[in-house]
Amino acid sequence: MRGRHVALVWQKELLDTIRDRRTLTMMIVVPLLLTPVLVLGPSVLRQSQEESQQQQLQSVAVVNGQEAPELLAFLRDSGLLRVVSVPNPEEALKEGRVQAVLLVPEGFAERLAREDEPPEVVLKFDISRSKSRTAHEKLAQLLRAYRERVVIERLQRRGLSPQLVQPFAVRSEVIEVEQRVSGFLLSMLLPLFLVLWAAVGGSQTAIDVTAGEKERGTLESLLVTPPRRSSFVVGKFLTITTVTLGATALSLAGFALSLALGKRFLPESEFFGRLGFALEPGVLLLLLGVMTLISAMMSALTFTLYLWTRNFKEAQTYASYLSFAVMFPAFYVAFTDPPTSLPAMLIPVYNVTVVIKELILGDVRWDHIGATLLSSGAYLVLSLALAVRVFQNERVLFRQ
Amino acid sequence: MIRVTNLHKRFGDFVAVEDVGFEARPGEIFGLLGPNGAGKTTTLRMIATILKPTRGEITVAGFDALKEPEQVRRHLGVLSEHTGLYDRLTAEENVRYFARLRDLPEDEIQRRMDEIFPRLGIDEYAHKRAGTLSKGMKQKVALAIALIHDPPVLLFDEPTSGLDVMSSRSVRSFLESFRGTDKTVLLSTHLMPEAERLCDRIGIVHKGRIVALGTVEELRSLSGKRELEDVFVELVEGGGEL
Repeated sequence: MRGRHVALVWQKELLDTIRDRRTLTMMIVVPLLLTPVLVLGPSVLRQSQEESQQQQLQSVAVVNGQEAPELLAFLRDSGLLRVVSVPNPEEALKEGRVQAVLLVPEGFAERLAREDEPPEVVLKFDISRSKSRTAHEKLAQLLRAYRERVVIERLQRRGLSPQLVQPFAVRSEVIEVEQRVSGFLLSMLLPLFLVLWAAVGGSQTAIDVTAGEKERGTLESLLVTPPRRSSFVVGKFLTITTVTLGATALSLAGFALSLALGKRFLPESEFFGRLGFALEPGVLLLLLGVMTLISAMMSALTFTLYLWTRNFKEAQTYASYLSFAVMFPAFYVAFTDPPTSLPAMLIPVYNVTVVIKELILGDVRWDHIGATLLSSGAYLVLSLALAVRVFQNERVLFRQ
Repeated sequence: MIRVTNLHKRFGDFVAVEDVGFEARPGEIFGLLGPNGAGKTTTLRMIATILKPTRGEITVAGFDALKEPEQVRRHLGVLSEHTGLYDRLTAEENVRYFARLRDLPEDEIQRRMDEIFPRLGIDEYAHKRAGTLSKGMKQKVALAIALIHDPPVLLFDEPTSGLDVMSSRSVRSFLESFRGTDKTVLLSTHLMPEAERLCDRIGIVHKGRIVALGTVEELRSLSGKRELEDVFVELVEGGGEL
């Protein structure tokens, strides 16, 4: 391997990549534009839906309402629901004309007054409709409040204190540590994004410098030039790594942009509103180091994999398999409390995702970082060694 | 000079090349003539050191292809019908890239390009991206790449395949210009007239073996046929040797 040849290959492949519209789109447009859409989209949708549903009055059809005039008045006075009466309530619920049905039994008020056999009201709703779920939630809450009122009245009639049934009060409070809250949400999304970009960000280039070279018929021209095969392998590998790092950096920029946009335009949102997220410089440096390593490792891996394929199309099929293979551990880590035993921390991709998540939460675990760096480094070297072998394997190079 | 002795190549159970031997000397154009799939490309790829022989010896410009592949590649220029270019690089950038991989100094690259480009008519489209060029134009650029380092030994594998008449003519006349120089040219072709017009000596290849070897005249007199095509057909259909 000679540095001059490696640099030459790297330079040429990079120029080739920059002139490729497909790769450029994948590298620049997608991370910068798609990331904000992916990050902001759900919040925007959820917020607008929640707002409209909270403001909207859901209709509740009450059957036998005349049996419980006091309850009916309580529901109406709450202002949270519209109490209606329709001819065929269950049908109306199915068709979505009302969002819930409340069945009041015969003699509800009388039985309540007698205080002997508790009457039962039935609440019907459609679990598949979010409006109906909201109506059910509100109705259940109102019924609990009404029940409590009845209990307090009964106690007062007997000269007893309402505190008898409320021995203690409960109040929920959100701790005001901004970094923790937003860090928690970021720690779910960011590792996913970073690892995915490390896996797919350079794939167009990886395919182009391997299968593409075969398909164009340039591989043979390359092989009849004097430089050692390892120079080509390393030069091409460095190109893929450069592009991957570039794409990852851009997706990070896209992420930062999304957060800034979110804070500016969605200040009400629980996610963006509280955002006051910043990484310690040291942690950021560690994060960058881990990212560089995973990018390099994924580049070596994809390079070896695509070198095996016959043409562009075949390589692209492998690329989609690979992104699924990466997505699985990344999603797992993002949405669970992942195990971090030593064997688990040797699983490629998985370990990096765990470490990124920890770093974002400000949790620097040197044993995890060490295991991740060492094993990823080993995978990188193994992949590269394999790539050199594959590059010398005439059966792979001239597969028809 | 190219010397090939006792060359064998197997791909699994398939015998692609069997006991091939010949010698191509400086100043001559040596042809390998045979139908598609006869083993010509495999033989050329072994000489170019991109396939390893199962058995046999190859010497190119005095270097052993198995022991000193890098030296062999340094003294070799290769053009095949499959030779492609990088579509997003210009014609000139393509040539420069391969020249730099061969460690040619920049002034030398410029000097060689100034020499070769006008002769092949490349200077008209030197700054166009290769992806926009016609097949004939691309093949000329590929020829320039094969010649940029002025190699003593040249391998041409079906160099005119798929080209239009004018492009074929210009590739052939370039090839012819090497006759009588210090260059050794090995041409593989399935086109009878091409072999007849260009080659000083011809090895007829069939099913991985050289079934006849000599000048066009020698081949004619050996078989008693007047046309090279008849010689060829007799060998291929009869399956025998002369």
